[in-house]
Amino acid sequence: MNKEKLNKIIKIISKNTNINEKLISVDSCMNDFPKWDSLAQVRIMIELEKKYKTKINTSKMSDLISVLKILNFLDNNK
Amino acid sequence: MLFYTLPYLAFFLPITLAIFFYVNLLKVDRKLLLIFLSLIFYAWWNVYYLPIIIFSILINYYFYKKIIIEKQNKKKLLILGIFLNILILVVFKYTDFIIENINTFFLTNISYLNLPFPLGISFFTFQSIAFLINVYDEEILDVKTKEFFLFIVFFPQLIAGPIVKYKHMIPQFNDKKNYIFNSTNFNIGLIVLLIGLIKKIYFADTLGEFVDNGYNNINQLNLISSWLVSLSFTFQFYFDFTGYVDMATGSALMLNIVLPQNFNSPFKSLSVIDFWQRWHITLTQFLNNFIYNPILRSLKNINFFNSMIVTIIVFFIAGLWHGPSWNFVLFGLFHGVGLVINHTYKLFFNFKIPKLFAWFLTFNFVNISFIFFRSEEISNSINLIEKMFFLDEKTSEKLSLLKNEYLNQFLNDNNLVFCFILSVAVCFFFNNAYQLLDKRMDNSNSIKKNL
Repeated sequence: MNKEKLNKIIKIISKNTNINEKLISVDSCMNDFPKWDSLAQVRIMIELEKKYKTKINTSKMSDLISVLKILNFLDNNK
Repeated sequence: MLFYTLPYLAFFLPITLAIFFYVNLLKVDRKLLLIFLSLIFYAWWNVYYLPIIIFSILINYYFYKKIIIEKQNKKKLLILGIFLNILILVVFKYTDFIIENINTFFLTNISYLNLPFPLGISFFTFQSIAFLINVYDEEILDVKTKEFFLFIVFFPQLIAGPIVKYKHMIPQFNDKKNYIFNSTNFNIGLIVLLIGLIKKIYFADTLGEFVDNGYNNINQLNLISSWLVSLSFTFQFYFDFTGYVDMATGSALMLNIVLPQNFNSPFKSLSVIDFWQRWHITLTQFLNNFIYNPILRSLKNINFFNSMIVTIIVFFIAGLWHGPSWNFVLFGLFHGVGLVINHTYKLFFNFKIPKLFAWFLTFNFVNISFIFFRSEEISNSINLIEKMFFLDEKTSEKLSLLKNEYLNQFLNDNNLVFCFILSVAVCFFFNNAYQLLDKRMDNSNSIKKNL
């Protein structure tokens, strides 16, 4: 697992949800935090698209609801 | 053809299963066979609907072909494809509603067109739109005509959903293992079908008679009987819809096809957000993936206020999708506002409230919203709500709560009282069909994971 990428993802989630970075781990998912809602999800996805210069389809957005899923998606879409 | 009718249960389903699993003797393509049988199923109700669905399929397949080869005008083609789908839906479902409103607002006298209202048009339109967007996003690349045809017309999900995804269905149709009779799937499918049948013909139909009487005579209801009527409809609606979906799921499973779960004990929800994650799940996913997310991401400022505006727009559309009436629009808006309040509470207040109180608030919110769904006129909805909250009663009537024709009708019908009590127990305390099956199935069974 790419630690640097993981930390960056956690930073992006934290920034868009106002959840303390320390509370987010590789096992975290949307359902763990009330603040990680559908609005935050769209913001996270847009920031990930900019940061990693990738395209996340609108239907894919609803699938990427955990740190691990995001990590796997970015690994598979290099 | 409807799932709970004799032609379906006694003839169509057994014959379909028998031909499907033993057609290898005749060397007929199973997908073509399912398409043919699904078209018979669809045309059974009214053969004149058949050209409409076939036209819709051909149009969408044409757009798939165009989008897949086009490089520069892909987006324009997608927009045109979506527009045509919506146009077909509007023409057949909403023309008279539009005429009615023009007549009301502009005092005109335009005659109604009384066009046929093809069964399942709302479902196959949404499914086709989702398909085109997936093609545009290059999530779907290689589509054969018969596979797309089957994706739309597959009879278990054709009339009342669930709204299925192309990528979820086609691998199952292509899997040769699914062409072999599987006794486990057959038995589980049969149980789910029977659960659905009981929900429909016992629960929904028993409650339905009392509900129809009550809604036709709202002025004669009092406080208690108005609550009984509204609650009875809430349970009737749940059993009717989930019963139909269970019968669809069971029928598909007998053919080794797994449909996505569409309900997950929605009346156990602890918030409106929770409710929409449990009620008509595939519709919620469609709204989220193909309306909410695209609108929100197209905005310059993606903030809380804008996301709440988008939520209201999405639920306005969802309400109208349910039917051509302002009552459905109000139903959608009621939920949209409920979600805005729920999100606002979650973001700004989020203090703990007892679970029982959260459930009580949510269930009553849903129960009241369903009044808009059931009433034919907005004035009837308001009238019933007034009755439920003592807003319409004279002082003398307030004192005679137990003297009411409809209350007596309810209390004197033992079957109805038993059905009502059982409905409460099933909706609030029992596991749902999927949870029951989950417990009984082997961990290694892939169907379990999909269910």
